[in-house]
Parts: sequence; structure tokens; C-alpha cells
Amino acid sequence: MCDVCGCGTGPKATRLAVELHSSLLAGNDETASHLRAHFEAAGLSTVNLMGSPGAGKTALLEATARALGGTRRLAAVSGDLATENDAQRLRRAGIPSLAITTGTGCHLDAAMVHDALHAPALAVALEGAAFFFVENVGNLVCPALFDLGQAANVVVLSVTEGVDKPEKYPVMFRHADLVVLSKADLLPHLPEVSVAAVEASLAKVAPRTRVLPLSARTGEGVGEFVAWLDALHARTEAKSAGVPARFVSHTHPG
Amino acid sequence: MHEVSLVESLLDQLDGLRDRTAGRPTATAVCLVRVRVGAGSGVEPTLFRTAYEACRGAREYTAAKLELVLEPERWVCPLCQSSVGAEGPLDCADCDAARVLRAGAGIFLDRVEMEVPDV
Repeated sequence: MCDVCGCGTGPKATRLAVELHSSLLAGNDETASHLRAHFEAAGLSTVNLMGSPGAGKTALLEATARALGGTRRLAAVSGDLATENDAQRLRRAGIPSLAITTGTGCHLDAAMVHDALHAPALAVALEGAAFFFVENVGNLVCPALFDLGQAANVVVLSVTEGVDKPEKYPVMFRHADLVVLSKADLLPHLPEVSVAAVEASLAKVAPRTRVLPLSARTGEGVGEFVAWLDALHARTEAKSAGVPARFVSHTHPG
Repeated sequence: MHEVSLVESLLDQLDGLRDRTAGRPTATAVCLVRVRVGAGSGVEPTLFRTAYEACRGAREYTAAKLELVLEPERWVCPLCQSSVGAEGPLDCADCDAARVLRAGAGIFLDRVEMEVPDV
């Protein structure tokens, strides 16, 4: 209708309804499926590592690299709002790594990981790698929503964060395949914190998920974490049986 | 906050819909947007609406009213199909199996109403 004088003349219009029921995460999920297909074809076990800032995600990867002693090839991306500090730490630990700086973004999405994988340095590092770690932005809320094509989610919760975090952040902990209770060497100094209390809180939101106490400082639990990774990798290799274990470089139109 | 990312995705989907008018001319306006938010989706409806109000002007969807429909969680045992809400228990004691979140886990664009010029 006329929107100048309100006279009611001019072109008429009809209201048209469209029913969709389409996920608002459909675009991200499509890119994540693309990533997962590449990871599985390459026999690459991808782990999405999530947790609060300071929970000990980077320290866990450093300890893992030390424990493996070069027996498996590793690569990583590290998400932070700013700086390359964590990626530099991982590189010093022998893990080829790239920083993804998100600016104001509170999580990584599949497109960010995909773009990072096309960086030449990371593409070379992934050739023949067994594990690719995505160290997500420190945050117990947003990262849980975004599929990155990973084979498994690991949530790192440090002993000083409070035993009821699983109940307070149920969406994050429901997505966990493993909860690493980090900084376990501090437990003797925290009488109000126990592994059993964390397990009880987790049982209310994710009854079947395991809690693994671990100290990157003393090495407690690191061997069990490596065993968990090896079991994950055995499942990945079974999926990619018969396919040459190499990350397939490719280009995209546009 | 991830609600901004989801609103951007919503607006991208709306951009792609304006030509889906069953042979009619391109829509001149989007009047109504209905989004279903799962209680277990990790999306806070109030923050989603705030993000929508902040972002829609830049995409010329200022006339589009946002309707949010909340979907409760429904956890279903994969063996006996018994279901419970968010209060649980999330394990089915009869089957010794973990219930699966079958409803209330996602966020969906359910319905769009557009104004299309008559030919």
C-alpha cells in the first residue's frame, strides 16, 4: 500500500506463510560433517577440548605430549580471544599448533576450524598424525553448541572450580565423552572437594560419563588419559580401515 | 554470547527465503519469524531476543516480529521408549540404559510469514 500519504492505493500484497523447521545450526553442522568425513578418511582422531579459562586444557596437552614421547604424531589448534600464547606453549611441547584468535567470539565454530586446517603449516602437520586436538575457547557455555567434526569431547574441570559445576552447566557436561578433573595434586589442600562429589554432580546430568582425576604437574592420571586416547584412536582406525592414513589436501571452489 | 551467532544464522536463512514465494514476486517484507528454542539447547531465550533486536536492523528485518516457542526436554530410553522430562532420571532403571535427549535439544526456525506483492 501507499506508504507516503496513507491513501490506501498502490500495489496490494498478500501475506505468505512458509513452514520450515530448519535448525539454526544447520550451516555449522554441514561444515562439521565435511570435517568429520575428512578426519575419518584420514584415520585422524579429533578431540574437542573444552573447559573454563585456566582449567588446564593446554597443560593437559603438554603433559600428553610428554607422556607420548613422540610415539604418536599430534597437531592442534588453540582458540582464544587474543594472543598466540597457548599455541606457542603447545609448539614448545612438540605439538605443531596454530592459534585461532576469535576477537570477541566466545567459541570456535566449524568454519573457523576448517579455515585453520587449510593453513599450509597445519596441513603439513596433519599428514600422518594420529590426533588432532581442538583446544576450544575457555568457556563452559557456548562451545558445547557447535559441532566441530570431532570424534570426542573432553571437558576439563579443575578441582578449584567447585564440585557442582556439572549441575550448573548441564549442556556442556552432557556433551562430554570424558571429564578430566585437572589439578588433582591440589586435592589434599581442598578438604571440601572430592572426586566422589564431582561424580555425584555429573551423575545428575550425564550418568554414564567418566571422571578422570589428573595432574599435569605430577603426571597422575596422564597414563589413563593416553589409554583413553588410544582406545578412541582404535575406533577411528576401524572406521578408516582400508583407507591410506593421510590427511587429504583439497581445495574449495570460490 | 553464542546467541548472536545463532541470530546471524537466522538472518542468513531469512535472506535465502525471500525468493521462495511459490512463483510470486520476491517478498517485500518479513512480518513474522517463529523460532522454537529447546530447553536443553543451551540457548537463553531472553538473550536470543536481545541479540535479534540488536542485529535485525542491519539486515532490514526491522518489521519482522519474533515469536519464541519454548520446547521442553524429553529424554527417551532407546530400549523401552519410556520418557521423562528434564527432572530425570536420565538413566532408565528398568533397562539399565541411558536415556537420549529426543526433544528440546535444538533451536529451529519453524515458520516465516512474508509480505508478497500481488501480481
